[in-house]
Amino acid sequence: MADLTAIVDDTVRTERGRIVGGLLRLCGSLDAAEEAFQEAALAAVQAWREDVPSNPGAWLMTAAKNSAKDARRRRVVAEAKAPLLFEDDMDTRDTIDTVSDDYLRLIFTCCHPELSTDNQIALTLKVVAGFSTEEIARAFVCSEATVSQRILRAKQTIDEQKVGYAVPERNDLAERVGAALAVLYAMFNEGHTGRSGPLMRLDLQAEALRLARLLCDLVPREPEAFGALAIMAFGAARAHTRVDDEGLPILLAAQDRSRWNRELLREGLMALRRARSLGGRGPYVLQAEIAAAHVTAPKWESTDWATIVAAYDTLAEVSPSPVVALNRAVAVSMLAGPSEGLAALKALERPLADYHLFYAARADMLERTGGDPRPDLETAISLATNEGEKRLLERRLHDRLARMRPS
Amino acid sequence: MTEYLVMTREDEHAHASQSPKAMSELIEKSATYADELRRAGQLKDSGRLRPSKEGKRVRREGDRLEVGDGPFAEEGKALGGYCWVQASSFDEAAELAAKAPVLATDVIDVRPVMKGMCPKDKEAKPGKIFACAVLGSTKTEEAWVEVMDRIDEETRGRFPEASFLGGLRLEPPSSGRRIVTRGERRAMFDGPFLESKEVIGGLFFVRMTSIEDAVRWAAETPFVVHGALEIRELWRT
Repeated sequence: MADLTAIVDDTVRTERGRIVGGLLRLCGSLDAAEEAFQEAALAAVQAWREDVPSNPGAWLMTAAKNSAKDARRRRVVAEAKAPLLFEDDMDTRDTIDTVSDDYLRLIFTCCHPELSTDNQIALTLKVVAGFSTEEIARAFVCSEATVSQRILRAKQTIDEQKVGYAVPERNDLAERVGAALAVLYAMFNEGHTGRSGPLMRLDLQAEALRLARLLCDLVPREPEAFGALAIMAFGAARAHTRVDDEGLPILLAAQDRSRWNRELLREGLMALRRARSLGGRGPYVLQAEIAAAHVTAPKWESTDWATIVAAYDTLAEVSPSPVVALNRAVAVSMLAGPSEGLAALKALERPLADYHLFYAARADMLERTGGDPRPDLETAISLATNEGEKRLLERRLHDRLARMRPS
Repeated sequence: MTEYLVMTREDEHAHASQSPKAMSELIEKSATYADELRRAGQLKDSGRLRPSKEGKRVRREGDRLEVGDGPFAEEGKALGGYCWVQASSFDEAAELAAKAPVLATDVIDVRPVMKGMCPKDKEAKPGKIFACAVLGSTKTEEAWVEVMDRIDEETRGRFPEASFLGGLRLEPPSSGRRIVTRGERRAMFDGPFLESKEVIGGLFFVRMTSIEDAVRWAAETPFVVHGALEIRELWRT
């Protein structure tokens, strides 16, 4: 019965996070929680053949709790220990607040700062999103063994570091939200630009967006969560206009703005509004402000560069980095002219010596001042790793060469 | 001071096809409008609803529960947002309402509030926030009032529960006023507006993890026995 499989799959996917989060509180270990959930999902396939329950999520939760209880009873008997907890402890009522806490606990555990970014993403995709090892491997263009290794190592770190499956106190909340957002943002960017291959990219992006929405529901007073959601929504709205038929990236200036997804743009604008109401001026909110200035411009030529430069100025104070300085220099060149942009680039030559986009930006500014962009384009091509970006730079170089040839 | 509910009935197609720039300007203007009312001490609460195509309408027909999926754009218009305001007279409330930033295709309804409990910072709590519009569909105003009375009677004492975030009951539709934008001008009409299939009798807010949970909860309430409940997620603003 194809229908039944679809219902089970759907329920398992959507309910997974909140149920595993609840089990984590009861079981005290990720492995035990995942095992209990897995058992319940298998039981559902059997039991729902007769009759699909009216509330499949609640059914799955009850079944998973029971299977967690059984597992513990078996363990207690096997280890001949007195039960540490009474049965009653297991019957925690599910209120919206406990469910929210459970979910948050799960996300924070998977995105714990003690784990490396790759391990955080692999664990989040596996445990929170319910991706299979194979799916994750495909998304990251690596072997299943690598993914399994990452997940294993992440779980070991959690156990060794006694990371604790606790929802952080209010004081630590912003920091932990920051760590979770960094994971979701990395996940989104992996889907957006990617180190290689287009396969599964949009899935990764959609999942990051879904989790960002969820996080906003869980911590509705954290402006940075809404800032990050806005950036992702703006990015997703443009996703299908960023690559041409040959797989080459289309720069923002040349994208067909009429094809941007209005619903996602609205979602981004509403999220940014929430971030503004909360008085947010953190790195994600500032980047969302910049992205908003871009997506609301009717065309590239009417972009509000003054607003963008001002936001970059603040961003450079809040979270200074050479890449932020590079983007600011590009905006400055648009606002005040290429000479000003080149002046702003001067200090970045050393820190960004290996970054292809530095040379691509300088080539553009040089060309606008009447200079020769070719050496910088050649350096950029030699440094670019993304195949599409490399080919686009090659095309630019080719066009310049053609134009230089005497007619 | 009397309380009024200012509701926008939006042409969702017009909103969806706005340019991103116009979209952003309307969002910001609406926020400024609400801020000004708040500073003047005239705003009790306000909210914007996500598109009605994400919403559900729940009613009970005998033993059967009917759950309808959005969009619910009757006469091309769906509930888009609200401001719960305080004013010294109906005319003042209507004046405030007429200043609300909307598209030329939208309609504004002003209705006096019979009674209500104002949600306190409802957007600060975790979960999704849903606006539930209590709807009645009857031919006459007397019958409509009777339906609302019955719902009121049977839901008394049911609240508050953990998920409840406050809400209000409106005076009958004949006490309402409708503002229509025509180019630069705004024209006003007095109620009742029973020509609409479903007339709103109240609005309240609940906090749930998903719209499916909200529908399951609604299925057990008197709202869906005597009338219908339109459940719509609110944007956090």
